[in-house]
Amino acid sequence: MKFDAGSFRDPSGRVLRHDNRVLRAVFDAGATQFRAAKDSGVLDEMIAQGWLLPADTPASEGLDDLAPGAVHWLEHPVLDFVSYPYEWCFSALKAAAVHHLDFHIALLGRGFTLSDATAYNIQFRGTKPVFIDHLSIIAYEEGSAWAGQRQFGMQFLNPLYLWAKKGIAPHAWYRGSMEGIEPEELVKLLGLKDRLSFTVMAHIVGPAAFARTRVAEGLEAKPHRAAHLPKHRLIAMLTSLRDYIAGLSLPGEKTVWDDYAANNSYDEARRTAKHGFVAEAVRQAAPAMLFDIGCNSGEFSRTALDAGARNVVGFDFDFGALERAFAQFDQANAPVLPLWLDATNPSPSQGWAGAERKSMQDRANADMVLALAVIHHLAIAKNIPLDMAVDWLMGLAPSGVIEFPSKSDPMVQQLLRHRPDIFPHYTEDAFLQHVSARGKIVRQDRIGEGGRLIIAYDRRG
Amino acid sequence: MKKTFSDMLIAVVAFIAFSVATTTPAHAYLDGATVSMALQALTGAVASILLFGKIYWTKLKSVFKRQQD
Repeated sequence: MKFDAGSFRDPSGRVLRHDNRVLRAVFDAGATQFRAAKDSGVLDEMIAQGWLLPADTPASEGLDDLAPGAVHWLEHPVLDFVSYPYEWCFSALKAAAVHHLDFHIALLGRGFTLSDATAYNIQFRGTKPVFIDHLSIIAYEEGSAWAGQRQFGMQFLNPLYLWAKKGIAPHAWYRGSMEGIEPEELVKLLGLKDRLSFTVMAHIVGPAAFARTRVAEGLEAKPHRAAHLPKHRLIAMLTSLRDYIAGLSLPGEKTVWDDYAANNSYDEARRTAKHGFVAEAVRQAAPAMLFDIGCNSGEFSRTALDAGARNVVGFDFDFGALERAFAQFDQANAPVLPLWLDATNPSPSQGWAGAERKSMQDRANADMVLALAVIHHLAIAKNIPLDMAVDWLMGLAPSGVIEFPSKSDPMVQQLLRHRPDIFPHYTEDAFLQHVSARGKIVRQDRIGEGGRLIIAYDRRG
Repeated sequence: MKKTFSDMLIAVVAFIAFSVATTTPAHAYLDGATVSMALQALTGAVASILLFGKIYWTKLKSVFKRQQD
C-alpha cells in the first residue's frame, strides 16, 4: 500500500501509486456522492471538455488489498510533473484560479458543486490547468454557501492580489504557509483606497473581519442564523470574482534579464552553434522529460522540443522571464511548464509529517537536464563550491548539457566586478574533472572560436 | 469616479452586514464555521445586481453605437 502522502484530508477517498499507476480508492464516506456524479454523466462531460483529469474504471481484482474498504476504484493518467502553487508564475496562478472558478460555474449549471477550493487540486499539462480531484465534485444543495470561499481566498485570490496590487511575489510567504495567505494577515497591508472595491470587501476584508469575530466569540458564539444563497447569486458571486481575477495583471516591471537576449555576449554565430549543440545532444538522449535549469524566456526549451524532447519543465528565478516563457508556450500550446526556482533553495519536502508536499528533488523525474549559463551563478554569485554545483546539476538527470563560462567571460567578469576573486578552483580543467568523476563526457565543444566550453554528459553505464 | 463611488457605497453596506454574520454548516469536510453565510448572501446579491447592470450597460452601449454608425 502506497498512499500519496498528500492525499488524506478528505475521508471520501485517497490516491495511491501502484506499479507506476495512479489509482484512487473511493471509500464509503464518498461513495454516494461519487455515484451521483458518475451516474449523472457530469464527470465524463467535464473530462471530455478538458476541465477534469481523465479517469478510467479499472478492474478491481487485486486492488482491494491495496486500500481495504475501497468501494470504487478510479485510474488516472500519470502527470508529467507535479507542481505546487508556490512554484507557479503569476500567469500560471491566475490561469489556475480562473480555471477553478470556470469549472465550478460549469458544475453548478449541471447541479453539482465543489466541496473545497484548494489550489493543490489544480495541476498543469504544459501551461494548461486541469482539475485533478474527482471526489471534490458533489451534488449542489439549493441555497447552500460556497464552502471553499476562505480556501480560495487564501490559495488563489490573496497571493494574486498581493502580487498584482502590491508588487510582492507571494512565494516565500506561500511556501512557508502552505495553506496560503490568510485574509486576517493580508488585510493589514490594505489602505483605505484598497478597500474601496467590492471584491476586496467581499472576499478579503469581509472574511478577515468574520474570522476575527469568530475567534473573539470563542465558545460564546451565537447559534447559527438561517441564511439562504440562491444558486443564481452564488453563480453571480463566482462570476464577478472570476472577472476580477481575469483583469489582474502584474505591475510593469523591468526584469533582470529583459535585455539579456540583446545584450549578452553572444553574437549570432555563437548562438547558432549553441542551439546546434543542444539540439544534437537532445536528439541523442531523446528525453521523455527534460529540465531546463535557468530557462529564461524558454529559447532553448523550444530548441529541445524541436529536437524531440517530449516534455519540458523550465526553471528560473526571474519572474519576468517566466512570464514571457509562459506566454510563449501557452500561445503555442507546447508541452513546456515554466516554474519558479531558486536553485540554492529548491522547494523542500513539507506539510504533515514533512511529506505532504514533495521536495523538488523527490519530484525530479527528468531524463535530461539543460544547464546553460547557470553554473557561474551558483559557483560565483552564490559561493557554491564547483564540485557541489556539478553534483547537484548532474544529480537532476542521468544525461544533460552543461555550459561553463570561464573567468574571462564578460558575464563572469560582471559577477566578480565588486568582489575579490576567492574562486581559484573555478577553472575549465576542474569543471571537466568534476563532470568526469560523475559520468562520461559524451560531447565537448566550444561555442564559437575561443568561446565558452559546453559539454554533454551521460552517467548511465 | 462613478465606479469608485458605487464601490464605496457597497463597501459601507457590506461592512455593516458583518454585525449580522452567521455561519453555515458546510456539506464538505471543511470547517463550516470558516465562511459567513450572511456575507456570502450579501455578496451574491450585490454581485447579481452588478452583473445585471454590466450586461445591460453593455447592451445599452451597443445600441448607442449602432445608432451612431
